[in-house]
Amino acid sequence: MKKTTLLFAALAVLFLWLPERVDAQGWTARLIMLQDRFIPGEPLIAMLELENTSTTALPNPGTGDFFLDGAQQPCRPRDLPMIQVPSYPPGQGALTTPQQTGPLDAPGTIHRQEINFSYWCNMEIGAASLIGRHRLCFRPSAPSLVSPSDVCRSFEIVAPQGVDKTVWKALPPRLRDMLHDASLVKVNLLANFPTSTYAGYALAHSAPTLTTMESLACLNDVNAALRRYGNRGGGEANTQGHILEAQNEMRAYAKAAGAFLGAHPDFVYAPQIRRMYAMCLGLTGHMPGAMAEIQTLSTESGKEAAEAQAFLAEKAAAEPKS
Amino acid sequence: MQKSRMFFVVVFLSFAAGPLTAHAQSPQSIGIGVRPDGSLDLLSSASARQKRGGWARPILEPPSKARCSVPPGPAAAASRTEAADPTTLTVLKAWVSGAWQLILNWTGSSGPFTVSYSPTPSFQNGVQTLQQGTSSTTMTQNADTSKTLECFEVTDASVISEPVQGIGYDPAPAPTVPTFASAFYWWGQNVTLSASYLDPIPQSNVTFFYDLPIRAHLATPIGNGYASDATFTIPDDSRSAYMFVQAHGRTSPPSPAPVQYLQLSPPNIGPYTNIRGVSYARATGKVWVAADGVVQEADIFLRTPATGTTFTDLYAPYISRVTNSGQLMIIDGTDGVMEIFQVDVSTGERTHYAYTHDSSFTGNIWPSGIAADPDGSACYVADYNGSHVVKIPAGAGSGSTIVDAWGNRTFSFPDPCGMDVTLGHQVVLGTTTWQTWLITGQYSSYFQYDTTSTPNSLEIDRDVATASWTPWVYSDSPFCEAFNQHTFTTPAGGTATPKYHGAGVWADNTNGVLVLTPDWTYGVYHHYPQNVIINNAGQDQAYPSPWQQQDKVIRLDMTGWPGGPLQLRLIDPSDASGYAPEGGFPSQYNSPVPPYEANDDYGPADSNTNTDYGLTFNADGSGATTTPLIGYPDSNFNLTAYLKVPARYSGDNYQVEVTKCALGNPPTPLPQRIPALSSVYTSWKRVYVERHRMFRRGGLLFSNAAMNDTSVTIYRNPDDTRWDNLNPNDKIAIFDTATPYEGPHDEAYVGTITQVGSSVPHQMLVTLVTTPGGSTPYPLNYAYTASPPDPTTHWPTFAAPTPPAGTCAGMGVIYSTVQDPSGSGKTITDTDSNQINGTGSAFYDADMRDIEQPFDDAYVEFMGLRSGMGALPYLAPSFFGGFQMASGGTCSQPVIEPIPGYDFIPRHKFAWIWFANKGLSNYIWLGGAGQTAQLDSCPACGDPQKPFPQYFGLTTADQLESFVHVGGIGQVCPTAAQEVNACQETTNHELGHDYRVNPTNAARHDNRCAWQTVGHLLCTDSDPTCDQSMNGCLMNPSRDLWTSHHRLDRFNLLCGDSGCPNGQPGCCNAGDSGCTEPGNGAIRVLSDPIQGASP
Repeated sequence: MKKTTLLFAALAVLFLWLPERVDAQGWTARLIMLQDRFIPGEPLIAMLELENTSTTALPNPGTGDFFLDGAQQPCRPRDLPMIQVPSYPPGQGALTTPQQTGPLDAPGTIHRQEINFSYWCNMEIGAASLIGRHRLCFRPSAPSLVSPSDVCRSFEIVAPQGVDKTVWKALPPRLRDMLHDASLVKVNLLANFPTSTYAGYALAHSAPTLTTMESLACLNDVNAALRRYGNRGGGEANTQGHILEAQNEMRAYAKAAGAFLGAHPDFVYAPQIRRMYAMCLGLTGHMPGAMAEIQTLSTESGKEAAEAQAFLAEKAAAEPKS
Repeated sequence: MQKSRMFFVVVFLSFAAGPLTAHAQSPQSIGIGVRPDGSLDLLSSASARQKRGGWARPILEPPSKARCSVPPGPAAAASRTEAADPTTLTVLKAWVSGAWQLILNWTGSSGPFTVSYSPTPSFQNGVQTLQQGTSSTTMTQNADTSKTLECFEVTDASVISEPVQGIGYDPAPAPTVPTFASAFYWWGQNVTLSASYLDPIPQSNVTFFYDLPIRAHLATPIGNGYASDATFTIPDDSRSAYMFVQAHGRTSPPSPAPVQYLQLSPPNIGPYTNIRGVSYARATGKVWVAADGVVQEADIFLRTPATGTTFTDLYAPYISRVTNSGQLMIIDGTDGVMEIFQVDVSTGERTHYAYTHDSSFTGNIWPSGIAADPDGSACYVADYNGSHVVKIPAGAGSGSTIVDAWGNRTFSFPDPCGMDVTLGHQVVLGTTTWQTWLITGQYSSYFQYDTTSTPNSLEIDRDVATASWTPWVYSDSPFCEAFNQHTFTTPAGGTATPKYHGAGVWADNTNGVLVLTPDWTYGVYHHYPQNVIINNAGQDQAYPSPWQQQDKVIRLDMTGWPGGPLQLRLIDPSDASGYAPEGGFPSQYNSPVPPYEANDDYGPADSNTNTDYGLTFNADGSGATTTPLIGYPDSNFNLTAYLKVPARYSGDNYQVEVTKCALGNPPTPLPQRIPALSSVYTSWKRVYVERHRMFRRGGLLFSNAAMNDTSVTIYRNPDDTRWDNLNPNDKIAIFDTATPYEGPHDEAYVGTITQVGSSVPHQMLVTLVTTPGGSTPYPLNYAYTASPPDPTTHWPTFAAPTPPAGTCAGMGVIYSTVQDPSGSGKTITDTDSNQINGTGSAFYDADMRDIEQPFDDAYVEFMGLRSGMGALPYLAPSFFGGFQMASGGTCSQPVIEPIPGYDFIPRHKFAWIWFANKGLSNYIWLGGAGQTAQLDSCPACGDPQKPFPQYFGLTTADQLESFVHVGGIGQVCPTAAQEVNACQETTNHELGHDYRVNPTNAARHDNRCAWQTVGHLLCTDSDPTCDQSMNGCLMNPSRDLWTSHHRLDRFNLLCGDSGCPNGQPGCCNAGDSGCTEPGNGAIRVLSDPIQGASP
């Protein structure tokens, strides 16, 4: 190969590499789409990672702005709050010289921020009309500290199909609220359409209370966990009432979660749902099923998987050796 | 002329075929009718008597029984407690001088006092502040017998008043009845009106020279937020008027002091002795005066009036009305007259008209009056020597054309004698016996009406009379109807066409001068500046005017001749706002000419999408049109129409112009005969506010609680730090939306606080006991539903496992001896409803007490009803995050931006849960709150001696929700007064955001000065940036929060965001593609009224 050819090849590699290059002197920004294909009304989630890829401790680089489809103006939610800025009364505001340094972040530090840009970029409004390909970009507020200065990712919005299409038509237009509140209740999503994509978000963000105050370890002593939750004084009847209320809630959740995970085992929030599904099963008397889900969970990644692995390891350690 | 002598009657006479048909109408004097709204009408007394009879109400309470002093609060407020009010009020009712009077006396404090009034015990309707800052301990005012209940309250500074609890603030008192120094004024002169409670900003004081509004240019502040006087330059073309003055949206009342009549008398004219006649020359627009020794032409419709042709070779002359061809007849002499002269009013030439003797008439005429046939063919002289009317044809003196005893009757003539001649050649005259007669021929005369005074002057309305239809008016003072035919000088220095504004010119024989008055013949009732509410948001709060019964529509009552057509035309006078340029906005509407041009509407005024306004005869406002209407007064001289104002602006003002019409089918408007304009009607918007106070301490329930539970679980922060700030032995209230704090709920003492659960974050288990330090468990009496947690973020979601709006059980500390360790060091000692952020208060309160200062300028009336208001559970500072220091911001001059991607939805949902009136139009949610999270990205800002930066208030306009972080403000306020000012300022600021001001500028703020510091500029001008913090506009982040000076700028108020492209929220025009919330970013324009939004 001629030298010139090698040179051009090297330059090509360099150009290809540059946008994603690691700047040894600063922070590296990564924009990760949790999915690259969405349906209308689905929360469009991206993960922003800022990693100190240098060899020294660095100040926090702050964040930056998001831009959709080449817009000049950064994304702002429609209902962005406006605030009264702070200040001090005359003669009282003699603060120390402003310092923007603060504590330094060690090399390897990663700041992660999950961003619902369907909310932040107002994409939920008339989302059906947004079907097609889109491009989301992040620009750091301190480009001298962060590279690249413009990191972009593309994604696609496709028309809902099947049960998702049915739910989509039934949902009220203000889809921003769909994950938690009355909008979902109106279509009774978890009971009627547990296999829809939308149900996954409801399951991920609205779990039975007891599953959020306990860890998987509570399954080692289900009765204790239930009583810990249910015993608020007032006598045994009150305790049993709380337990019954919680178990009813968990049974309903488990029914929907089981159906959903069966249809969407790879859903982006499947580990969280599976963890709560397992707890609901275990705390309502279905320990074999719970253990099966924990086994499945342990094969995945993330903190839920780690918790499952730890639980299983502890359980194995506690079992008598044969 | 004294106003008590301004007698006149409106009478009409119709001729049918054959004998005369007289419509009996008692002569009347002008009276002042006091309407139930306290407004003042200028009416004929018969009408006034009639209406007064209708207004009379039985006295509801015996004199000895005071009906209402300090009323109780709403009965449902089970938890409502009040701090001890040291002031004791007694109210006595007494019959004094023919009226029921209420005598208020109070004791127990040295003041200063605020005296409040409302016809409802809740102090939410018709609230007035009668006195503010007074040290007096007594007050008397007339009872309003139209009310079934009148409630009064007197408070000192130690407690907040019932109005503050009822609507959120003590309304600024209406200015008192203004007084002035001189007996007479004229155009261009200054008049200083003295009254209490005027605005210290001169231009914010408005008075009315009858139908001309004018702003003051000087005011004398007295240091209590008010001024004691304001000086106005009397505008050209104004008329004498009963003086009212407006400030902060309120108008001085007609009582208890009598409203003073400011008389306009043209200088340089007179003085005269014994004015006997005043006549108007239509050909020249000038007035002729006859008095002892003189007949003189006067050009009075000028800033510098001037005399014209003058005849001084006379002794005691009388003059006629001017004939159709412009001749004025003069007769002079007291004991025998030889000759009658005529004056050509156009040239001033005096010539012989007729001799008073001929071959058949040789008697001595002692004249007391003269009338001329409109065609000039004859004149008629009142001869009190023979007590006859003598007809003297033109050119009489030879032959036998003079006819004595015309009408074949002996009369008793007053001096001067009111008389005039109809187009049908018939004579109308008055007598000293207070009668009027009609002489139809040599041998026939007919009694017409009894009068209520001596009809010394009488004038037929020749503009509208016909040969068979003759309306006339009389008075005991010489007078005439006149119209200003002069051009005006515009504010820009140009001239405009005459407006033919009608007037009455009256002789004041006490002072020997002329007085220019409104043209009383065509009075428009309710002549009192009035506010028209354009959006009452479906609430039952009374409209400020009794003539308004539905949004945007107000009734107009006018008087004219029965069956005589009147043209009613809607006109739009100049904007009287203190910040509006003189004459409005000529860049938008060419050359404005006060008071006629529609020149105050900046922006898309009168667009095709906003045509639902104007005048109509339909009471519901339907069919309103800006096309002039023709109406016919009924047999009682009354014509009723309705004005429907457009919904597009607040502060829009309108008047109705009344033009005479000639009879016909259709009637023909007479454009040079505009005798009357209505009062000024100004549109106001109402915004209701649901106020909530947040507990300073407490927690949020993590899981549901059931009856008989003796402990509850509460949230911790996601990082496992404490969310709550409870302490053992605190007394707490537990509540949720279904069992709110305001109603029956649980109250217990905190026993122990321990962690519960195996996951991180842990929750806290709080045991409840019946006594501080005790061990007896407290069983709950009610069940409470907690907000479910988000399993991912561990925040409360405030979501809705059950519809419709989510749940949020929580708790608040109502008594604690533990000092607040986070800043104030305060203990919790009271939950009083009559305290705001007081020492020991259990609550953080947003503070609306100053809400009128900025929003009166915008013609927006806030009402913080009790409906829905209540207590919120304590929310931790960590919940109020989401903002960071932006690039370039420093801790001392922070520039703050939202953290990209931050989820503010839980905050909205929290507000939704408690927003009982959510979904109603014009209803805003306003919550007090504590401290916020430290601003991210500013970890090093904190001076060890100072707290970390926080933000002080937050508004989400889309959700109509505002938080005022009283805790954050309190952290940096060294004095209580500064804290109060800052809380009020922040409250005003946050509510300003709900109007989406500055949608594209400075992160929805601005950098401009408050309007009064930059004078009157056009919206197209660039407004200076305001680096003087004291002068900063309310929406300017650099302004001084700590003073009591809180005003907006013109862009916020009216002009809108100058950089406002279509397509931005709150920044587009109705009908634009994608424009869901029309507006241009100003409070007065299209972005209001605020539409309700359902969650």
